[in-house]
Amino acid sequence: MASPREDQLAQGVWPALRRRGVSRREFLKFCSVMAGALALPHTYADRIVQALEAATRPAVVWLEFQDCAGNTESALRASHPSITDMILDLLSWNYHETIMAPAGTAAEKSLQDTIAQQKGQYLAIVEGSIPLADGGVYCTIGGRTAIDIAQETCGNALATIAVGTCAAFGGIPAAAGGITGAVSIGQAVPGLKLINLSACPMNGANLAATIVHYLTFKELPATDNLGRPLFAHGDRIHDNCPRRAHYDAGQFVQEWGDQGHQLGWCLYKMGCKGPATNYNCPRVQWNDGTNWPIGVGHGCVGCAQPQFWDAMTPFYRQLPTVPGFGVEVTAQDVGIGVAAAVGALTVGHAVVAGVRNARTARATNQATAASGNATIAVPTNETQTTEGQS
Amino acid sequence: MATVVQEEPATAAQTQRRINLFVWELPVRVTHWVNVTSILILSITGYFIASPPVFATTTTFLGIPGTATFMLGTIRFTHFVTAFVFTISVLYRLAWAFVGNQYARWDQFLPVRRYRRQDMRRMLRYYTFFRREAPPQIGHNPLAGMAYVALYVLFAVQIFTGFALYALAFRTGFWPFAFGWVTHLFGAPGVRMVHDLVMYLIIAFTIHHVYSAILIDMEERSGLVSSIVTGTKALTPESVAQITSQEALARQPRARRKAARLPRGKAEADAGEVRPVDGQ
Repeated sequence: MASPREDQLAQGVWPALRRRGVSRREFLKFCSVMAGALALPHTYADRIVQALEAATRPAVVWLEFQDCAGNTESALRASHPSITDMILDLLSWNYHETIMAPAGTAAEKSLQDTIAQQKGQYLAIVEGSIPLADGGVYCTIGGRTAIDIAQETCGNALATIAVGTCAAFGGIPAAAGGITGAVSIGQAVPGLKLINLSACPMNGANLAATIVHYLTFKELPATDNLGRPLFAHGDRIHDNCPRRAHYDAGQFVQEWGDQGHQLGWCLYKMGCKGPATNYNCPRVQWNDGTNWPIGVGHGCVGCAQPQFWDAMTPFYRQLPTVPGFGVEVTAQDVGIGVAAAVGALTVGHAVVAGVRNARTARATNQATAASGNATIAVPTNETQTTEGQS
Repeated sequence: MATVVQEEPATAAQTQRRINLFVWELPVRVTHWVNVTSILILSITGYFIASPPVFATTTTFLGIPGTATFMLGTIRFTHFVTAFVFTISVLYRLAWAFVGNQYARWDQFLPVRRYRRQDMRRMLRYYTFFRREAPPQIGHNPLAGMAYVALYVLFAVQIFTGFALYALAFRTGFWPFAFGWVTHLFGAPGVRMVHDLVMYLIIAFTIHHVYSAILIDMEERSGLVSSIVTGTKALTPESVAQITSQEALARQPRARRKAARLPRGKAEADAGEVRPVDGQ
């Protein structure tokens, strides 16, 4: 007969992991990695181990609206010490359109059951933006609009996690030219207990760390003024970039494939948005920590920032062009043009003023000469004439 | 044969008696030159931050080994330090516009007085060659005053966007709190673009400013250019009397001012040289 403690443990995260064949060593490694990802002292790894052993798996519903399922892919492809397994087993997945077995009415029933039976106890994860234009008709699931589903599901959730820039800030559907009136989950359903895991896509390690933080401390991690967790978005890419020394020294890639590019110099002049982007890309990296964009010689596009599709473009240029001028006209061209125009006007004005002043002087002198005042000097050629006569 | 001394023709302005007037107080002159120096440093370092050349392919710069490891870092550090000096100077000058003498005050820049607005139109006609003489001034002419307002707007934009970009380097605290929203709203590249563009507008202003100072100095022979070093302008007694009477009239109650003013048609007709005199 199992003790109550053992019963409790049997429903926890660790037994679930063990049943899936995760070794104790892998589990401890995972907890250490999570402590690292959360920027906690290593001593907290112990606390995370204890918390995950005791924690019951929270139910989660994963909603997809105007998205590309890229964040789902990112979460599933993350496999640090098999983070995929960890994420899948940290949570009780009640609803996720991409990976769930049921379809149609049965799938929607899972969502409704969760909302009804675990009201205020489940986590809602939202992927993709929510269209508000024309009554929200641009995204409907099972005949219901995205905003309708989001209001019911997120409104009854313990907390909402927005994954990806679309859910966090509107992202690509909200970019200039979009007609669906796409907004973030925070804008669509105000007043939620919400955390924004932005980036396109967000890193699965950060999702795992956010959930681990919640299971360990029973609260969501501290956020910046955009609602993004500080452990993931507190630092600037530029400040943690391995190529930063090349920036400070003034060693830049000037064109793709040049010597500087081959030597791994700074991508600032190729339009890298690292100096304006807050994310833990350089530390956490992608594909089992294999590499990350700047590591493979491609500039950061600033995907973790709000409205990056409008604000961070053009991706391969340092600065956007000046509105109202041609697409090839830079701010420097316009600025030098304005300064040159003022310079030309000045020179023109000086010439006209000079001519006028010379005329005035001549007129004054002639008038003076006519009045017979000999003490005032006269212009050169007239002096010579006078001299010749004497 | 006697040598003939060849002189430049003396104009009436040169031969007239002059009164030396102390116009620019020390803070006005100091902030002016601090601004000049900082704008120069900020423009050069800013240009290198916006379009850095490859400073060195090795750690050797100008033949000295190990000096090229922090070139852009040094340039940025210089830019930041100078930016703070410039900001303090601009704020100090703004404050001085409320405590300084009458030629440093805010109403030298905003044409709230009617005679200042009239002078502004005369000045505009002078610049466009529709009028021979620039109306005499002790402090700033009203058109220049408005140009300085525009310049200070550019300064404000530059300081504001500069701090917004500076705030990118901070995680929490004052800078992201005060300026983080700017880059979040407009995007850092857009803010950079404005910061870059305004630099050229300030350079364009500088070209015009130096030229105008020389032009008016040649016109007035008042030592205008050297006045920003010495603080003193040399004006003819007639100019001073004319300005003083204008200012006295402007201080009169509105009704008396109206009575003293010439009818509009007449004022326009002789606006060329003679201005409405006071009614005292």
